[in-house]
Amino acid sequence: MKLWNILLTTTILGGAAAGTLAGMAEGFDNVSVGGRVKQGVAFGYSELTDGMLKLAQANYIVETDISWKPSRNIAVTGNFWLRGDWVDSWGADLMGSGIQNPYSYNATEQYGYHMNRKGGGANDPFGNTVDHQNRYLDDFEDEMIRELAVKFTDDYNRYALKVGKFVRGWGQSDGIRLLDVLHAQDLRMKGVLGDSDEIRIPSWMAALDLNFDEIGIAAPFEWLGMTKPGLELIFMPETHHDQFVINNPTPGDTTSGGLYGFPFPYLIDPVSGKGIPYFSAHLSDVTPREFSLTDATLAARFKFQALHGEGTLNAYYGWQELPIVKMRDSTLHVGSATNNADEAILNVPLSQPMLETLVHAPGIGYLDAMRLTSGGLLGTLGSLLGGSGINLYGCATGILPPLCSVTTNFELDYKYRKKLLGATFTRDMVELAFGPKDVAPVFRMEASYEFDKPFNRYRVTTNVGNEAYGSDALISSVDESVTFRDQISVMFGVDYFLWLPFWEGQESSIFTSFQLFNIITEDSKDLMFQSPYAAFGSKVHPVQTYGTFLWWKALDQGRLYLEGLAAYDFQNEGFAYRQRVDFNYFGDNIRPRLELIHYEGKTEQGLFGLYDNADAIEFSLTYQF
Amino acid sequence: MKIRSMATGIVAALALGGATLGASSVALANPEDGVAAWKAFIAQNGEGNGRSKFVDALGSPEALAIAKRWSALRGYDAPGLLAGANLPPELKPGTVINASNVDAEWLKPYILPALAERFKDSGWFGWKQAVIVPTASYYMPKGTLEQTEAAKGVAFNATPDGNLLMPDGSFALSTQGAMPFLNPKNGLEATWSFVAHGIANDNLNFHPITMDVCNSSGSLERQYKAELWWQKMHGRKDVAPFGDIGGMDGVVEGGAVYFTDPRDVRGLSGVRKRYADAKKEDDFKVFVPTLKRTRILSATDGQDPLAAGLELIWDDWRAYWVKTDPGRFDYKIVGEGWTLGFPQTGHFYQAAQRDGSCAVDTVELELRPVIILEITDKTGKYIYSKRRFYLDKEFYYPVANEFYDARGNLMRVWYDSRDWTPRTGQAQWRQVALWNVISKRITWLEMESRWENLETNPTPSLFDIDQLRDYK
Repeated sequence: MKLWNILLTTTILGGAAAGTLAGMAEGFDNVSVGGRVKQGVAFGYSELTDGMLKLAQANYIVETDISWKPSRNIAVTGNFWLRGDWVDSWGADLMGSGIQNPYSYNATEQYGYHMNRKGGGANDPFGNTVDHQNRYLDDFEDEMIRELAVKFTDDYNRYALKVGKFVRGWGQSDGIRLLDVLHAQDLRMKGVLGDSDEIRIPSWMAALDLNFDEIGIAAPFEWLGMTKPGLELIFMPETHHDQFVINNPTPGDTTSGGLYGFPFPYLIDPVSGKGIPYFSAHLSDVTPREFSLTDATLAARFKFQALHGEGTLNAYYGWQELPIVKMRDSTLHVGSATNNADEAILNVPLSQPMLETLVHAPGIGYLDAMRLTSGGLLGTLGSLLGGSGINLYGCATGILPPLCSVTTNFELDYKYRKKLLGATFTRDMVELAFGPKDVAPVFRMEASYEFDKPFNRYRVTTNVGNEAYGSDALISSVDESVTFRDQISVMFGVDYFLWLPFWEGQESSIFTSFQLFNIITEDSKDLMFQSPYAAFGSKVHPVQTYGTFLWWKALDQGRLYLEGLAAYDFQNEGFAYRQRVDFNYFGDNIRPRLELIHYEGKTEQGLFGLYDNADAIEFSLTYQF
Repeated sequence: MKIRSMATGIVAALALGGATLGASSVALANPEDGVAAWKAFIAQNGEGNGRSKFVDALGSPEALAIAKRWSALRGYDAPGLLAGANLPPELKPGTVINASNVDAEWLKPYILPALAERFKDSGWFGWKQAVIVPTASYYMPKGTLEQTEAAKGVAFNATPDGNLLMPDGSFALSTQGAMPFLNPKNGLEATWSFVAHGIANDNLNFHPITMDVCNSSGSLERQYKAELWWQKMHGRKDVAPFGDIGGMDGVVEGGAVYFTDPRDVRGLSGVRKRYADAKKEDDFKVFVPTLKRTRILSATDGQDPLAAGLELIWDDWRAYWVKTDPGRFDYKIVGEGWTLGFPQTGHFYQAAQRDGSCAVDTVELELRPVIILEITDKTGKYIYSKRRFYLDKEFYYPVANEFYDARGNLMRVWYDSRDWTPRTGQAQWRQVALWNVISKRITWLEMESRWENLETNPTPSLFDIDQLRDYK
């Protein structure tokens, strides 16, 4: 799609729809129309931009929302948007991490990878050219409809039914989701630090709210000390999984998620510490049926008041939003060291067991052969192929440069049920009021118990009987590489409106919110945090702890708005921070914003390690109406 | 026309009735006198923006009947008090106040300095002129009247721990709808009468409320719009459902707001419910659309603005929505007298005509009899060190409000005009002028009250944040 097409779409959405409906709104008191056009420009300052402040993103959003309230009991709502990032059209050049470079010392470094149409060059021998995949997120049904729903409310608030495509937020946690699992997340535009509202993926669903008090069946619960009981039932026939793009340089499957794409994984042999070159990955998704009555997500939330607070009991039976990685068959590209099937003399299919054997075979397998080699050129595939005829085509040890490579098919399998129970409790702690204005903190708690959560194993037994771990464990059978554990997660949080004793004339409070998360995984030893990121011991910790701090403050009579969000990963020593500055000096229609997103993390260690190179500062301008 | 003649000979009623109000004299008059004064005013000054409709309603048999019963119950009414007051002759209907005469000695006792300043300071929030209109009789709804009549002789008990109790120990405002103290003897009783005034209605529906934010340069900086509802939960006799609202045991009243503009706050909604029990803090929840999540806000922090830039804080809903607590605040009547405020003509026309968004062209001002009530923070921890209310002796709602900051300086000033229906005594709101004399910022509220189907809208779901979030 070219620029004029996008402008045309913009016109259709922002002009025709809004204009027409605004016209309608004049005639219909209960129709309201709004929208926004947002354009941002972000400059990265990480390895992706060679450590310099370079153009890294040019996100845009065109959004229209409409509501119609034909009666006091019915609300029809619609919200549509078109998003994208046309940074490559603006001449940006992001250099991602590619396949292991066999010419680097012990092959521990990766080739570069131009994540746009500037492919090729010394750092990118693969020379792939790839259009930026996030330029137009324009699948109408999946990506452009944010909400299209009708809600019926009973006169006496006994029940309410909302049907359509929309989003429901659950839980009491900000930033890290324990119970807020009804919707998968779209991580393509801003990663995990995007607005939680913007990154939730809406689904076609129905939500029924029952107010037991008004229905007249509250007595048993009140006898138990629960007042105002109510039940929310969710039926979601549409299934989504998290949306992200792996920056994958593999020829034939080149993908680019830009600044917030997940990096191509480091492939490091933990035994020798050497890289594992000549391997690339072809990725494919395995998902539940997108729309199915039998594969639907079911969820329920029981709400009540007790102990002067608000509680919920939650149950969820849905699908995993992140994948389990499964190795399938592979292709040996004879005559191409850069995984290029078109350049290869011969493309030889290798079954999953065959490659597993060839890689792990003691003494003669690829890994052992590679471990015996040292210096600047590793990874001849000759050893694993022995005396077969393939060696005649250049895969034998000693031929320089080696002319073979392997592309392995990996499935990203989302077809695992997610089953969890949970609870939340929130309370205004009026007994603990303190500070210059005697303000009380608000206590929040959230806990979940997930049954049989699937994991990839960090350590496996191969089909030749030896043990492999780390990156080596990626080459293993599905039966061996996937396992299940129960997981308990708990969050304690406190919100506090802070008035400072030394700030005379403080016009409004500073909102502060602290959260502490503990995620406890049963028998976590040798589980992979998230396959295929396995190179540096990125394992599941028995107790994973995160701390977060959110604050905001409006200064200068509300015109200068500051918001900061910090998160710390205790076990992996990762850190993330987002700072926003809104300059609301230009009336109600113009909203300029400066936003800094910064990650510190060890390579591939935990969530923040994956985003370590996604540091950027963005200026955006929004026109809203 | 002298003010006495304007009151059309109501002196005869002065000695009637046995009630007292502080040091004031008993002053009953026929409510028709106020109507006659208005008619005479219109004859001399013209129709304005719809004055006749207001006066027609004021003089309707239904309105006069309610007014007379209230007058008899109180023992006084405003026209009667006016007739007995010793006021300067210049302070008469039709007098125009502007920069040239606002400093006149005869006017000073009857106009708050912060209001007078507006006529002199054209650089910021300038008011061009005001026209004094006759003093009418304002009263609360008929249903409240009937309950108050029935409760005559009932001893309401304003306890030192902040409760208002019936003789049987039940909470007064969550069990019935009578006014507790028609002739308050002290600040605590006056405060309870103000609190019991509530919204002078059983239901309230703003569709919408517009909040204009002006900066010190006199420019419109922001305009918020919201839909807002209010509901009295018990002692309902004016708007169905009558009696009690189901599921609201112990709750006096609830307010709900749903922001529609500007777009970046659209969907922000809040519900606050006030419990009668002094020990039970408000149920205060806000739905934040950017999080798609409901947050419980601490009821102890109603001191923040509803939204950025607004002078309106959560505790200033309907001018004052703070829980009565003699442990934290002193409540004192510090005087009584007369002051100029907006007339309650909002159902028929706007009392104030603005010049653009951030200045006033012409405003009508009405002389009202007031109790001066001060609520002083004893802890030094509240945003206002003191609130001074000029509480209308007839209506039990402030004619004017002054809020002082923690250092004791005047900070905010509030005047409003109600959307009041004389035929029923029911009220909503029409205009609020709220300005900060320190930061020189203004929040001007305009309300479009929805009277149609008021008995079924607001619905109970609007006071349930989990339903309000999907309102639109």
